[in-house]
This record gives sequence, C-alpha cells and structure tokens, in this order.
Amino acid sequence: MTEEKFYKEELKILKEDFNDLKTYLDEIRNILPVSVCTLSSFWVIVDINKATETLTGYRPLEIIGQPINFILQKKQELEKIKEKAEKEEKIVVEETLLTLKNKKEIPVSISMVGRKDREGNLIGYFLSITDTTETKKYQNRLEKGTKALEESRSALMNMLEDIEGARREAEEERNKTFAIIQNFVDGLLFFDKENNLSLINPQAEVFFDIKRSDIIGKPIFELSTFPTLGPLTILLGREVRGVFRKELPIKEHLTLEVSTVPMVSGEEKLGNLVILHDITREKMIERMKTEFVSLSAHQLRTPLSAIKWTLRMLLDGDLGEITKEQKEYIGKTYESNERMIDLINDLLNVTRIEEGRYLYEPTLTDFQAIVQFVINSFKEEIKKKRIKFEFKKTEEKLPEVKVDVEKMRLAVQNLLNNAISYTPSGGEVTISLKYDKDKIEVAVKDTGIGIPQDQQERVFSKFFRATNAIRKETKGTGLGLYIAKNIIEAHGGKIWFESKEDKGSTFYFTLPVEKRFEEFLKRL
Amino acid sequence: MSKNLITEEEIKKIMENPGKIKGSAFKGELEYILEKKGEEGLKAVAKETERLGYPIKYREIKETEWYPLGLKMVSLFATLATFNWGKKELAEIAKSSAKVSFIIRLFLRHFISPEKVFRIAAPRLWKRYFNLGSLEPSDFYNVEKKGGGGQGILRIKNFKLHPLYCFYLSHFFKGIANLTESRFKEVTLEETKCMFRGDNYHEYLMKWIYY
Repeated sequence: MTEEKFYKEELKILKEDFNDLKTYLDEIRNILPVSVCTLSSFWVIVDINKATETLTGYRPLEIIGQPINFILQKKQELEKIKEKAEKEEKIVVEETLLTLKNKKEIPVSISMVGRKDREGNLIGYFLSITDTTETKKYQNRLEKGTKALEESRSALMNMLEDIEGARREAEEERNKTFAIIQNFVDGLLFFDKENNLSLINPQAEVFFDIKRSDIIGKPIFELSTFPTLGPLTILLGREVRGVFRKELPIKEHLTLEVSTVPMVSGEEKLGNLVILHDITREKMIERMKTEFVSLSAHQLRTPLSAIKWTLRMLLDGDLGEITKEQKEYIGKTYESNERMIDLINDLLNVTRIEEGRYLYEPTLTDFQAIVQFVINSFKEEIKKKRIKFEFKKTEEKLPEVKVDVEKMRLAVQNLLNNAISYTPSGGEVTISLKYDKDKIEVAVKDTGIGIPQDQQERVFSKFFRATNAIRKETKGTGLGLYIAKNIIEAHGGKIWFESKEDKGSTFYFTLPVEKRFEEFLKRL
Repeated sequence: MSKNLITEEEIKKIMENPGKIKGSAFKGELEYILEKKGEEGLKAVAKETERLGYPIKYREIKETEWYPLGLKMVSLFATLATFNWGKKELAEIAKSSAKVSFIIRLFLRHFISPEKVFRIAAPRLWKRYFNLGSLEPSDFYNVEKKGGGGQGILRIKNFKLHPLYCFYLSHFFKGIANLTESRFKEVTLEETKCMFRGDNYHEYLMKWIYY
C-alpha cells in the first residue's frame, strides 16, 4: 500500500469514527432525561437537548442564540452560580425559577459546570436544569406541616404557660388559704369523703394536745383511741354527722363549740370540715353569771319565804283579827310575793339548766302518769275558767321512759299553764299523746290568743313574752317555754309549735324511747 | 419572491460549480422548515428539489459529509419557492443554520472573545464548511464596555455561487456573532464589495454595539 493510499484509508476510518461519534452524541442528547443546555462563555445558549425542549416548551431555533436569562431570569442566582462555576472545577448547584415558553415560571434546581480548553481558558458551560415543582410542593407541604406543627407547639407552649400561670396562681391561693388555716384561731379538721383525716391545723393540735403526724390520714374511728379526741369522735360518729354549735368539754379548762360543714365542689362531695371554736372563756363568764344569779336567787328566796309565811299568818288571822280592807291589801301583797317566788324558782331552774346540773334523777316512769299528774294540778283553774279540756290518750299502753320526773312535770306544766292562761273562758285545751315505736309525741293544743307571726322565732328565748300575752296577762316570767325546751332537749327530744294569732297554738314535743333514749341516758 | 425563481438552466449552471459544502449547512433549512411547516412542509420542499431535478433527502444528509455546493442553492430556492418565502425568511434560515450546526458547536471552544471569533474561528470555520475560497478577517477593533462597540471586515475570496447566497452569508455571520456574545445590542453586516458587482472578492463590514 502506498503512503497516499494509507492516509486516504486512515482518513476514511477517521471520518467513519467521527460520524459514529456524532450519532452517539445525538442519541445521548435525545434520550438523556435530564435537561442540559450548552452555554457559550458569554452566557448564550448554543445547544439544548431534547429534555430541555420538553421542559421549556421551546424548539431549538427559538432558544439557541438567546442569552441564558431568556429562560432563567433571576440575575442574582445566575451571577452567583457563574462566579462559582468559574472558580471551582466542580458542579455547582443553585435554586432558581425557569420561565417556560408559556410564560409560566417553575422552580428549578440548576447545576452548572464550566468548560475549559487545553490551556485552561473558560470556553463555556454545561447547564442542567431539574424541575423541582413536585419537590417544592412536597417541601411546601412539609413547611406548612412544620409551620402548623410550630404553631401547634407555640399554642401548646402558650397553653402550658397559661397553665403554669394558673398553677402559680392556684399555688399562691393555696398558700394563702394554707396560711389562713395555719393561723386560724379556731381549730380545723378536714375529713375526706372516706372519713379519713386529711387536714388538721396547729390550733386543733393545741386543743387536743396531739401531733399532726400521729393522726393525719387516719379514719375517724381510729381517732377515738386518742384520749383527747374521744369526746369529739363520739359526737361526730363514724361518718362525721352534721353538727351545729355543739358544746364539747375536752378537759377541765377547755370547752369547744363544734360545727361541721360539708364541703362540696359542684356536685361532688369532698368531705367534711370540722370547726372547733374555743368557748372556754364564754363558758366561764356564763358560769360566773349563772352563779351570781343563783346566789342572788337563793339569797332572795329566803326573805321572800319569810314574807310569804308572815303574810299567810296575817291572812289566816293567826296574828289577830284584821279588817276586810287590810285583808284585801295583804292578799294582793301575798300574790305578788308568790309571783316573785315563782320568778326566783324559774331563775334558779334556768341557772341549773345553764350549769348543766338540771337533770339529776332519771327514772323509768309511765309518761302518761306524769301528764295526768299535771292535768290534775290544773283542774281547779280549768273549772274556774270554764275551759273545755280533753286528754287524748293512746289506745295502747305507752312504754316506760326514763326521765327526770320532776323536770318533765315542770315542762308539761309550763306548756299546759300557758295554754290555760292564754285561752279565754269557754275556750278549748287538748292534750294528746301519740306513740310510734321510737318516740312519744305530746301535743298541747289551745284556742287561745296565739303568737304573732313576727314574734314566733323568739318564743323559746329567755324572758320572752309575746306582746299580746303581756297585754292579756301581766303574770308570767317569760322563762316557762325556755325551761320546757331545755328539759325536753336534755331528754333527747324535740319541741316545736304551730300558732296563729287569735286562733290558738299547738305545742308539740317528742321524747325518744328504746335505743335513742338509751343513748340519751349515756350522755347524762 | 415567487415560484420559478430560477430556471432549470440557471440551476444546471450552479450545479456545475466544483465547490463542495458540508452537510451541516443544510441543517438550517431542515430545522427552520420543521419549525414553521412541520414534517409535511419538509416533504413539500424535498418534492420541489425533485422537481428542480436535484432531489434532496434532508433526513439522510450527514452534517460532516461534503455535498455539491450548488445543491445548497437548490435547497434554498426550493424552500423559498415552496412556501413563497422572501428575504426575511431567508435571513432566518441563515441564522438558524448558525444555531443548529454541529460544526459550529465544535467551534464553540474558540468563542472566547469577539476578537478570537473574528480573527481565529471565522477563517477556520470557513474551511470546515467549504472546500473552496477563503475567509480573511481584517481591521478588527473592539471597545468592550457598556455602550461600547466595534467593527471588522470579512473578505471572502475565490468564492462565487449566487447573489442570493451573498445575502444568506451576511445573516449566517450575524447568527454566529449572536451565538458568541450575549451583550451585543445590535449586529449589522453590510456587503461592501461583491464579485457579482465586479469586485475581486466579497467584503462584509461587520459592526456591533454593546448593551
């Protein structure tokens, strides 16, 4: 082969290789899924592949020869990526917006690498464009989700702050309340709904001479094992019963007034608060007062008795004849003296009641006999006033009750005396008895002057007399109903009344029998 | 321009030109026709070339192969005649040719500065496209700044095809210029000398101004 022929053959092969190479490049250009643009060193688009046509919507002739900002308009991002691509020999990536043929802008990620010739001169760039619309959408959703989460977190933090604020306020309130409880002059105990002691303040510790740590959390029935708490646990019972201003002697120089208050939150019962008010001093003053009254009454009764007998002797003529006029005056003096003696007796009864030494002879007695005894003592009076009187007994025989007979007679007597005194001549007075297993009920009914509505609340108060009663009857100490009430209640009974002015009154009282009565006896 | 722009005799004479041109030169018409008229348009042009007696199978043209220089004129006349296009479209075809040419893409490495394009790339590019004649640049100057500009002269010697091709070349050069620099606000080419007007060579005065 000649040299010329060899070169021709070689040239032919080279041309074939070159054409094959071009075909290969064309194929790559057309099937490459990534959008690729070739840029001149002056940022002119000089070539695009098929994927760029698809992405931008531009045909090659429309886009080739155009500056790159024809499709990528964000100048700052372009300058940034250009600078990087020139300096660094690696692919640089930037986020920007691609303007499509239809003028729509889509988010893209552009990757760029600089092309250099053998001498290192920058001769252009390869630019690939990736549509990040879906990624952006996902990112936006993610950001929205994150934002929503952030907002939720922020809201939650606000709520927590509010809760913390509320907690601090509640704590402050709690501390205040606690300080009040701690420094309260009254003793306080709180039993929860299971009747366990959950709170005791220092004053209560002093009252019972007991340490908080020894009793807190214990159920009420266990507290009875502590000697100083014994009386209180008996008063409250195993389930903290309702008590209002009950006096409770704890030791020699300590008397408490006990009240219980049920504590509720909405409809839920939280437990019971026991308030212990120290009334030792009041009791002492009251006792001194009572002693003074008692002493005075005793001192007065003796000369009054002497006067009574002297007057009696004068009236009976034991000291010689007296004129009719003298007898009349001495008679009036005698009656006044009698009223004074009655008053002194009532005062003495009151002082005994207040001293708590009024009932001293409880015996098992037929209650009907007591009533009958009192009725008998008023027979003359009833007859004199022409009162229509009736005693309604029970069909069955009443059970015997353990009472202080003298005092019970006095109670019934005071009620019947009022009924007769304040019922006009020709009126009606009825005493009736009832029995229903655990109690006897007595009713004293009259058709008398009645009690004015506005004064009914004070009927059982000491020295109270209704205005219409004073007008009608000058006698009366205002102590009868007070004494009767104390006697009945001291026997564990209850007393009440119904009354209408000018129509009459009915006074009722009950006395417990059997167990309740036995309990009452225990308290005597 | 209307149909029958050229007579069969004239075609025959052009086809007698011994010069050759690279297949890449036909890519401009191909893409422009596809862009504007689609595949059917391309078929119509091919048919017209057939009518002219020199059928061109555009899809089979290889960009790196040599083809008779006259065939380029057959292609241009057939294209213009088929769609009744004029100078405006011819200019666009010329610019498209610059845009889509594989040979030009290979020359991009020389497109570093206007001066390099002008002084180095242009003469070499001519050799890649044509097997006869030569392109000689001269009188280049450039003020590369905002509002600046420059100019240069391109002389084409020993190349005589058809006056229409002189017009075509001016826009082909313009197309190349636009590929090199994005900062050109305007590029103009004026054929100051032409062999068809009795000159010894073709001469183009190229001017440009920057944004």
